[in-house]
Amino acid sequence: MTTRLRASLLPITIACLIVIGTVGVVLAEIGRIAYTDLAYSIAENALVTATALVLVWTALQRQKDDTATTQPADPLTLSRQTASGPQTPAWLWALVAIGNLAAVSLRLAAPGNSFSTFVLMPLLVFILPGLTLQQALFDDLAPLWAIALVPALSITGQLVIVAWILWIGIPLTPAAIFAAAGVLTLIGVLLPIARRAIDRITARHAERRSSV
Amino acid sequence: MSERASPIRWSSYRNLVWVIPCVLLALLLRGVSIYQFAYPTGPDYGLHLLFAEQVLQTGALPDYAENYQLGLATWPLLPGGPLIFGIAAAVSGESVFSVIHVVLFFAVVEVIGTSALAYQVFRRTDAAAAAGAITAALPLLVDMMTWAGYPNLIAVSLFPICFAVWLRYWQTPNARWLLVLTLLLCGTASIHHLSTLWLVLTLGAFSVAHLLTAPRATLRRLIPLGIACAIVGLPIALDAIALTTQQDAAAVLTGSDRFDSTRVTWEIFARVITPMGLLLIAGVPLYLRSRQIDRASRLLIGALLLITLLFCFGWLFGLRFYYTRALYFLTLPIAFGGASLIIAWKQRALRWLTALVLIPAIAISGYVRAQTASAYFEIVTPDLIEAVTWLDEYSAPDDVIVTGTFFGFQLTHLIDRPHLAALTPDLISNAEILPLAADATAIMMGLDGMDSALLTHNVRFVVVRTRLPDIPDPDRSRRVMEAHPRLRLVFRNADALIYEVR
Repeated sequence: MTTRLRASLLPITIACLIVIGTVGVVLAEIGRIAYTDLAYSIAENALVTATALVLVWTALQRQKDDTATTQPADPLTLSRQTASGPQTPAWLWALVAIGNLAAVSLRLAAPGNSFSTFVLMPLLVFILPGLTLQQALFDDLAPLWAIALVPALSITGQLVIVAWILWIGIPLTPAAIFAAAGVLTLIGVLLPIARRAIDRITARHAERRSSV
Repeated sequence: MSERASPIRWSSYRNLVWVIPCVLLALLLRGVSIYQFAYPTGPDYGLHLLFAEQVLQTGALPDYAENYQLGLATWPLLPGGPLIFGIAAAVSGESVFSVIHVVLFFAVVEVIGTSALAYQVFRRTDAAAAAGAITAALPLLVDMMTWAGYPNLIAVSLFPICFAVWLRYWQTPNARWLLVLTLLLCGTASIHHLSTLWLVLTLGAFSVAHLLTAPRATLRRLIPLGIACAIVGLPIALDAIALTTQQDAAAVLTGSDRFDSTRVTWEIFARVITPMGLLLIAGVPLYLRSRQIDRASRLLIGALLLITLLFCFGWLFGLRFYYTRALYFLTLPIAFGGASLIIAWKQRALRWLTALVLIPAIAISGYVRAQTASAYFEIVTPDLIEAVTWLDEYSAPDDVIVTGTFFGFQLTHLIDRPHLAALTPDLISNAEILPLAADATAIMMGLDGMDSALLTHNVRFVVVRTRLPDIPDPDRSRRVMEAHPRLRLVFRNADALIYEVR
């Protein structure tokens, strides 16, 4: 009991200092105490002391593996990689078709309408290109990774295409910008189809060779 | 073998409920500068919008900023940041000014990216949640939103996912991760020049450290990546090289004295990072010493921290570019230090206590900062729009207008008139406009060269803010204009005074 108490004395002291220091800083920031008050000085010193004690604790701490919670061997992937590789699901086809059709129609008929600005533009610019690419490349990503990659791939992919458009000297018109997003989406949609076609051709060749 | 498309397992997404409050917190704090004001706060976005408008009007990258500093200022920037607004405007059919709110989306990108990176690094959900929540609450990028450093903010928001994929590629160097990493790095590198420098230096430091210990394995990863990036990112690399040579970046980094006044001192550092200092100073050593985290992950965050501290305190060893901007790159080390500190406690109760005390405290600090800094940087207001409308009506197309810094960044995209903005040297990236900015400063402050500057540039109107803050001091500018025999007040409202030069 005494040993356990002694072992937890330093962490508990640090935790108390963090609570005291943080509460004091917050009270000062919301104007309940002045930065010149004794209470604020105590809070700041509590944080400084806590920082120093954490550094000491870090230096003294024996690194043990038992703090790690049970996790899957690889938290980044799900164990559902299909043998034929990723394929574009039907709902994504529908989303791509409807999204693009609606965006182009509304852009031509009523540019600047709220639906285009707040629904279709984010879908076309920030979601669809990355979503199709991510679906084409991976079917085994953990959900957090899947969500994180979609907007990042959408934006960076379009920026790369736009950089090429400008470098080649094609005027960057709204049509070219639509095309940039469209090309990226299309690559994502067509990649699995192309891969399946290659797989089928390879399989047919292998069959013929084995029959000969 | 199944021929059906693999379905998304929505049930696995239920475990991510904790991401929602983190994202909402980030939107709440960073959105203050947008949803609490008639127009987004901050000076900087004015020029970014002007750039995007010029691209959409001409279909090409402009060489000069139209009207800004009499149209003689080159664009000292990489085009990606402003182009995001251009893309959003072109797809929606709105004006670039009307789609400025899309910048908030990058709060979502950053929080989820940081959580994904933390999940990869710590392999623990609680650490990922803590890192995501700290990123959402941190006042640093909230502060950047208030002064509208949007390209910088967008690029920094993409850093976590770039780093996550970088580590993933390092762990599994296959074609799929190579493709994704190439797109992410090239796209992110096109957004903001300073952030690109940070990204390259961080990944460079990481690679050098690996080269020293495992040269063959490192080259096996770096060579394909280098080739892929050189091909895919060719136009972006050429843009970056052109910008570096055009702006003489080496001289700016080593010889320029423009940034002397914005040197990061220990006092500024301590003030800016309070109350995050505990997370940075105590948390990061915990992170760097943790044996549960693989070496590559520790090295990457360590490299980012090292580069940031080098730029923060470069003045100690002769690096002249010691700009306070460096502080904004501390978000990731602080988030990871914080996560390390929170999960360091063996007792679950202490983990919860630390998280429940630290994260709300940082969020409150972020909220206070969002409120005060947004109010400070409220520049485009209905009154300014009214003043601009008056100017548009009562001035000729070639009438030159002079303003202070705050109006200076915004006026060029609001009105089609040649314009001189009084900027201090530390706010100027392109050296060729230093003399023009100095002339405008002489006019606004009533310095010796005021009369000759008025004549030389054929100035017709001077616009002065009615209230603080501005650079130069608007009270002094008002007194100068009122005392000057050639200037007459022709318009006034709550925000702007317009003086005509007779």
